[in-house]
Amino acid sequence: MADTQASARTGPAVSEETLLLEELRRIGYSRGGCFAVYFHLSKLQAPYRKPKITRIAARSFDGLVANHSASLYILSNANLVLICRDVGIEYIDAAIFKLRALFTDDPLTSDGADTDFATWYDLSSTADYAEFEQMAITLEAESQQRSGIARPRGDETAAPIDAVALGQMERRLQSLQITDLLCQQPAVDIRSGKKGEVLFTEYFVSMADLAKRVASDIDLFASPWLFNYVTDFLDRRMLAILGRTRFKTRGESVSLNLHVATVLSPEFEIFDQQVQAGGGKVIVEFQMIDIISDMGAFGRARQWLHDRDYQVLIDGMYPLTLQYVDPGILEPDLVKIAWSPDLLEDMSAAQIEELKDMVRYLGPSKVVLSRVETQDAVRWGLNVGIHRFQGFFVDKLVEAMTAKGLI
Amino acid sequence: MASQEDLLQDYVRRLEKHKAGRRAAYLRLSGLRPFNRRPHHVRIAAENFDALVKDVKGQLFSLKNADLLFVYLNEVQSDVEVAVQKIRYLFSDDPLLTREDRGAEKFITWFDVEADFDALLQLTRELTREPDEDETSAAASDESRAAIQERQARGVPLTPEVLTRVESALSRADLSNLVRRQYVCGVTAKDVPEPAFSELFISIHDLRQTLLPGVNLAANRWLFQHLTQTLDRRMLAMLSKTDQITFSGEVSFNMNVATILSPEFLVFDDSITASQRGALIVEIDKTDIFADLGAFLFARNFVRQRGYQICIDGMTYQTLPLLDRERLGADFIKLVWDPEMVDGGDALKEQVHAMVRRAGQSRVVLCRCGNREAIDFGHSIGIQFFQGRYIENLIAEDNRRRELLRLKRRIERS
Repeated sequence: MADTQASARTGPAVSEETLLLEELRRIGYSRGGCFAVYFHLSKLQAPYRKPKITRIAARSFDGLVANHSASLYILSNANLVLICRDVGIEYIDAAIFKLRALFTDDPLTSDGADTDFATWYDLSSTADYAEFEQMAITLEAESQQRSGIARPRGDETAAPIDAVALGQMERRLQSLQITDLLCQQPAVDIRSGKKGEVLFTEYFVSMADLAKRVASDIDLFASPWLFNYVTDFLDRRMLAILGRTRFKTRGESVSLNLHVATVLSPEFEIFDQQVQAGGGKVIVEFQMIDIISDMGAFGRARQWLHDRDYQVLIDGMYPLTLQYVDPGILEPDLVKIAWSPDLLEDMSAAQIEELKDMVRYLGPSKVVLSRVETQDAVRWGLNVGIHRFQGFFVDKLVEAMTAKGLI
Repeated sequence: MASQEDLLQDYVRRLEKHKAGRRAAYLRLSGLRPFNRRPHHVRIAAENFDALVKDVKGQLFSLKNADLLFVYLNEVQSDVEVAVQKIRYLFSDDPLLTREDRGAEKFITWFDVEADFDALLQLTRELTREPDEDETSAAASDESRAAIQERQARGVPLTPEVLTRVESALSRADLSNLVRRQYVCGVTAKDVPEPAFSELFISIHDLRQTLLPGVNLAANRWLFQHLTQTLDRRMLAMLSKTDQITFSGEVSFNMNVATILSPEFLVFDDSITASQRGALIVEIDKTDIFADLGAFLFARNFVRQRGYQICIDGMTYQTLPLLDRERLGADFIKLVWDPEMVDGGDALKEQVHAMVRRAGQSRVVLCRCGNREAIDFGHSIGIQFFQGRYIENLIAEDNRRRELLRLKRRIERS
């Protein structure tokens, strides 16, 4: 029995859920002293719901598993199940304490009740056992469904990018026409009782499309460092294209994603001459990771841009980042906060209040909520005091408003 | 109106009779990247000599090619050095100056007017000669030659292909002889260093010399950062074999967040004892925090729970206000020494002082201290820990002193 279990564990076909169910049925004959604890790690905020993190968190129970009669299951929904027989509660509590301490920054552990984090089942009780078994059956069914559907981007099916893949990718990029990968997306100002107003149009290369085109089997997003190498490379191509064509004749503002080093490069000088000649108004978007890696250079780039009437936008902020970093210190003209559907559920009341406060402090006219994909996102944004938006939902909104002459 | 070049020619001719007691500094701003030598840059650089010119201690020539020539009286040598230093900081990110080894002499030439008069005269002639067709092309070819030379000095740039080679070389090579130790110390009033902990790291410089001659590892920030993940893994392997590296006192080492969350770190963590963990400080680069904040926060909680301490590495006076040590849950932060903290004036100094106070004066390590000035500055704002070449020199000196003392005692006893 033990042998089959060991080999089953290494085989890809048998899920943790199946193994859990097997154990449950095994102990079903003598349930005395048995109990189970179900840990809802899937209720953590999105940044913590990653397989890597779950696996390490599961190590909090290593001692229990090694020294006591306990087993742990890491489920495909990111939750954990611990099953024990005759283990002192104090040992369990100590392990749970360790587990919780890993997620102190998450409302689930900082504000949530103990029951939100973990549910206990006394398996010696027939009612609890039946309830838990039913749940395990459901979990197994769900996990089988999950493994049936294609995994989303960034998951383990695509190989994480490495130096070899990057080299191949770079060669393909050299000859790739990026013009047709160039997307544009407007950002609008929406306030009740007022006409909508297009603030600027962002021009960017869709990295997801680019990855599909040149390296469909590679997860480009797996390494922040190599990802930045690629975007750095693309900067110069972007400048060459945009400087020549697009917005020279239009009156509206445009924004571009660039590295600080690009703005300080000779290529940008050429671009600048083209833009100045065309009378365009340009906003340059910088990523936090790029800024922090050389703040001196950022300071010089910002000064130079401001001297020449460009605006500076800090991109890639998340509500989580804002809890740790005050982008106001960077003296930007605009700050972009990325929305994600998780925010609807993930943020605690206290965190929402903090965010409102941050928006007020930065100035609502300086904040843009990006990746707005639904009406809910707009509502969420308005609730925290943001009235500038960008995203797929906004694209549709702008289309509709333009058709009705509201813009 | 007479050009600066004409004035210079005239001036140097007259100088012939007043050579004694004069010197000249020739600053090759023309060697800077075009972006760094726009007229306003040259103007700002030239302004550093204004006070001396006003006091009639020297004469400045601002030339067409952006170069500056300052001829001055010996007595103001130190003032001129300060001015030159300020100009160097102004352009400190330019390749001409970042290549410390050869950059210095390319950027500036010093003349003793009396001893080097012929050289100065020759330079003046070159500067004042009107270029003709032939010479322009000669100059262009000269520039190409200089570019090639510069590229060779810089080495092969780090490309993905080179990175692949480097990574595979690193995974095979024995790096234990490239591991260096640098001490983080307090410095007493009598200049005696008092070690608090030491940092173990793989010397990039030596790595380049021994394993990868000709490759400029630092040429691309992102690829280099990626490469450090390989170095992380090698370091972990060495750290877990205690026969390769001796643990003595508290020891710090660099790790990427991604490495901390990798199986290699977990294996390492399993291989050492709880008391060893307590003596280890994990250094995480500030940039890594923003690669994935959630991952950083989790990794921080994880390593602290295991008993390690955390140090945020690579902070500068500009990043200090952005990242709060306590909020980030770090035990220490490393602040990179930058002379600008002194040269930037009292307001900046006060600002740095306040930020260091907020971070906790006993929690800040002033690192890359290359000279006395760094220590003095650190002390003046209450910093207690220092690291860098200067500290290593103090330690060597201190060891010599102790050795001498021991010898002396031995002689006295005998």
